[in-house]
Amino acid sequence: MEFFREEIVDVIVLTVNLKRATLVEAEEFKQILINDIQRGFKKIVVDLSSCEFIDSTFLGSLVVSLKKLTGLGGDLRLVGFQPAVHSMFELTRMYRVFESFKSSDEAVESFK
Amino acid sequence: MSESEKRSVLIIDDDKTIRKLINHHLKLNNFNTFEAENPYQAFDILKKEKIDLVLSDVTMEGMDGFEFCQKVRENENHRFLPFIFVTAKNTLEDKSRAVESGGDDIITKPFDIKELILKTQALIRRSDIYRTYGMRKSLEKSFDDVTPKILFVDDDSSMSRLFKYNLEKAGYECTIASSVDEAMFLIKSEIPDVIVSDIMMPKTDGFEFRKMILEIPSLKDIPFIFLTAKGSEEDILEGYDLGITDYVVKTAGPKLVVAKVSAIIKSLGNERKKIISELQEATSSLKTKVVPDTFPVFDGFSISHMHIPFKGIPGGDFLDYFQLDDDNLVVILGDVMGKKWGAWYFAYAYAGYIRSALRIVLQNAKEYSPSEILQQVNLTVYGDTKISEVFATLSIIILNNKTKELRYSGAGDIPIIYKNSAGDILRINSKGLLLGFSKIGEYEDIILHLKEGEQVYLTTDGIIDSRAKSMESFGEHRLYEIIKKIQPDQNPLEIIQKKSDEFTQSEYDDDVSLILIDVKS
Repeated sequence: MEFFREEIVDVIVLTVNLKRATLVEAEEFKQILINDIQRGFKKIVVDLSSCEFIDSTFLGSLVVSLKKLTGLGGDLRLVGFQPAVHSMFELTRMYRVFESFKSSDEAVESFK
Repeated sequence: MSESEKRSVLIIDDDKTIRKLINHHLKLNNFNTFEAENPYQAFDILKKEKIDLVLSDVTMEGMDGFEFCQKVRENENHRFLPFIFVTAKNTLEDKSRAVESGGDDIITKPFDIKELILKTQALIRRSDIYRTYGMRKSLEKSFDDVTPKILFVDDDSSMSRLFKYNLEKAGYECTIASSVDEAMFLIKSEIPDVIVSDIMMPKTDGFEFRKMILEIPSLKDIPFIFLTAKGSEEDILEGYDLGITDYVVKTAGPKLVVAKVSAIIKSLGNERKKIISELQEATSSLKTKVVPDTFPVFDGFSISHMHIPFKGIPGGDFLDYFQLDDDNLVVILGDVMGKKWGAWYFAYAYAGYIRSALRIVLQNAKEYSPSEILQQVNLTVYGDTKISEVFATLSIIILNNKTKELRYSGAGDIPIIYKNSAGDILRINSKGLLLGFSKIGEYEDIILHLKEGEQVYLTTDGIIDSRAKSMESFGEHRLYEIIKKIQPDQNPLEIIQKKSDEFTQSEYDDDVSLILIDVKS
């Protein structure tokens, strides 16, 4: 399973089980997030601990979802930056718009 | 939801009450609606309007719904238009005719309005995914113009050989698998363009095979044809429930299979041509290019660039130069997120936006400020629903050749690289957010006072994210080291290209763009 989805009360935790998350998987990933948003979920945690690299298309999927969620008063929070992923978020300044946490428990807790 | 985001549904029914009822509920659910009393009116509407889904009655005067659906499907543009029958007819024969004529679903009267809305939404979403994902994937493959590959799965080896012979005669490459296990193994090493599979096979049958394929995102959109021994309606219906493209009765012979395979391959090709022509139209209407052919001539500076489009197909990077007046030149480098087809299209749109934003800012500004330009572009992009889900990075530099001042502002871009007169490499960071993300992009101007012999480099993530065969990334540090070592008598762009080609063995995952600004005396 490339993506593992879990519902914890009203929070969705989506774990990305990919070493390289790229344009190949970006569309499917986006659809999962958009589906949840359309179903009314407003609190989403995306766990990137397994990702050694994400490309700009995959980042785009996260950004689209965050933009939709913030428009609805929700939020998308991230977990587990490996160094290359961290530098990707830093390069694009996206670390400023995504709140990030050390563990998914912490991220879920932050929504309460 | 704005008008332009709404999806349009065409309702065809000779009963006015039913039309009004459906119309009312679709509108409540944010759809645009068009009504037709009969198929002829419907054809007119299909010609004039952009319709996302058709809801059609079956029993109508003149031409019945099945015939209408077939005629709609004959039009290449409507081959994939979602089509639902709304009918009182409910026999298996009707269902099978609905499927044969090219319908996607059937809703029986009296119907539950909730079910109708749900099916409408689901079908539109499915076709969206197919359009943006499945289709695009097939397109990218068909771009390489190779012989289409067919995977033929049947446990009967004489049957397989017969079909293989006929498919190869028709110009296709055909691989045979005698079981689903073998087919799954073969697919791993080479993804076929079309799969043709028998249904009745020992161990794993065709239906199971189809389900396995549907679970794999990279395979689920490959056109899939079932071969059935008897063509029983149950088989066919179950096949369509699994989203197959087509089915053929075995006894109909290999010619029909070849014809159906050819039709599918041709439709993928036509779709590609259509998109190319749309892109060309967009280009000519915007009258702008993604990358200029020549370097700008600007006193006191020498400006050059390199741009290698990903696999030769224009991608998401765009660069531009714009002389504001005798003393000021704008240098622009952007990268639309996403690759190839989508990004190419939007890169054109963005290039157009930036030009018009420049004009607006120039008319009003007292002082040339790149951050003001960025903010203007950001506002336009943010407010445009068509591209509100497409993000771009952008670096804007304004050079003044009297003061040798460089003003820089960036939106989510790779920091610019400043090689000063002492030979130090400085990473100049901007704070601005990606274009289109939020209304306020927090853009700011950074001012550098340049001296003779100094250099400034702008780049997108193409070089930095490129990889060696060992999967190691090129990275910013490697680019800095190369730039640091460049001697005054060397051509920096040539050296960087040579080094990155050596590193990646000339295989890139993205557009590669680099702009060099050299300060002259």
